Amino acid sequence: MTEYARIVATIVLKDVRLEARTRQTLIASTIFTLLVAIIFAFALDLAPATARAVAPGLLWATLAFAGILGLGRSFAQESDHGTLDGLRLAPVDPSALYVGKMCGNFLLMLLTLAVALPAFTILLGVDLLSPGVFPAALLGLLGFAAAGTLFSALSAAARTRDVLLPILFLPLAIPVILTATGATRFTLSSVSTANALGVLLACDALYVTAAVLLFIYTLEE
Amino acid sequence: MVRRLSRALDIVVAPAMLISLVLAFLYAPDEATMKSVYRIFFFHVPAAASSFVGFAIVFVCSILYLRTRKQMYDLLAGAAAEVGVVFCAVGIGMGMLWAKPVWGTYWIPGDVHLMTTAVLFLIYVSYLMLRASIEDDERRARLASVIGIFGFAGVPIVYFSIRVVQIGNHPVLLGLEPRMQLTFMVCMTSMLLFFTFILVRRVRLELARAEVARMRRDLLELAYPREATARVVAGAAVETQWNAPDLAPTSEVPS
Repeated sequence: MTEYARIVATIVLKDVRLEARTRQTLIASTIFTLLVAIIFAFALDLAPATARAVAPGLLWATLAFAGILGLGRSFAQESDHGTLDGLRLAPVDPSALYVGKMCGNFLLMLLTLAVALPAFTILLGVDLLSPGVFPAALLGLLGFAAAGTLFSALSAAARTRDVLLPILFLPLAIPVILTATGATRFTLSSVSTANALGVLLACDALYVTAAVLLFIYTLEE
Repeated sequence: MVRRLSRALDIVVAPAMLISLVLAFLYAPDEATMKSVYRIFFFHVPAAASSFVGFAIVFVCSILYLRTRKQMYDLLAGAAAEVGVVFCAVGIGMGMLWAKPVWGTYWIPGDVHLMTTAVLFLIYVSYLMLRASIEDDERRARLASVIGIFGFAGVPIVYFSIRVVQIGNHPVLLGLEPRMQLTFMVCMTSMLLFFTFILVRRVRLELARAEVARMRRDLLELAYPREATARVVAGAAVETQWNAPDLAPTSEVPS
């Protein structure tokens, strides 16, 4: 078990180090988030009550699209740099590779969230920084990362990977977007979020389990 | 086996569809509030149900493919997804036509059944997109299987995620009068037969295509034993080989 954790940590550290040096994906997804928040704020010009009703949906749609930017790079860069073969040849449990990559993507999405929440709070005038928002946000992003990492690996093998990833990822991201949006909206209007969080948790568990079992098939050559 | 099944379906499907049309439009009585409008129900529900059968076939065949690596399962999964998507589109379309006069709107965004079906439709459209974008047979089969399994496993989650956020108003069960019930049973059976008919046709087409590819390879092998092997190993295009002067067709080609 400690061995497994060590492998996962190695992969996460590799991705973190790579991102810390190039900052490509991080800059792209945070700037994208800011741009979208600004566009929404200007294009919709919302009254406070309406803003509270639509802000959760806008936030999660933005996070999903920003997430795709990062997820697309996740395996595409491995494949471009030829490091995917290295991962394939590594004498470790393939599921550890998946968990490592997923944690890396999750961290990246957390950083996007760290930009998105203040941006939406300021630009739309809705208090998205209240502590009740965070459980749904963390569970939702975990679900995104779980499905997204699998699809990133999948689409990296296809010819048209850049267009394929959103098409594969979004249908299965819909439950996460819907539930997380619901939970965020419930929090803002002080309704209990227990059910929504339960569904999100079940979703995360199912996605992670299915992806761990299926990941090995995306690596074969 | 496939051919015999196909022939049996050829004979059965057209009369079955005809009988269901007669029953649905002439035999079944008008509904109390919806009058004749409800009759689309006899085709809307079976079409949607058939598409779910198709997606379940994709799921099972995907698992079987990853376990056994038999091409046949991939072929069946691809065919079932294609036919399932068409039936799903038909089911959704008919549902919308029915909803307009009854609910006053084509679509209710928060409805559990509508949204689940729409998401399901999108999942299998993306499945077909993935299949279309990979040329290599083995790789396409393997990656498509991953989506076939993951997508189907996600369906309950889709359902509950919508359920927790919104409340649906799509009727789950209608109280059916005996004549309506009979009509519905017949329509369901004939729609499933029709679905199987198209599915089997689709599978036969794929089998024929595989057969042609194999015959073509055998023929090339006969004509140019050495080069054909080299071609297979190198995976080079046949056309480039034909352009090479020393490989031009000669009298050695068996008639």
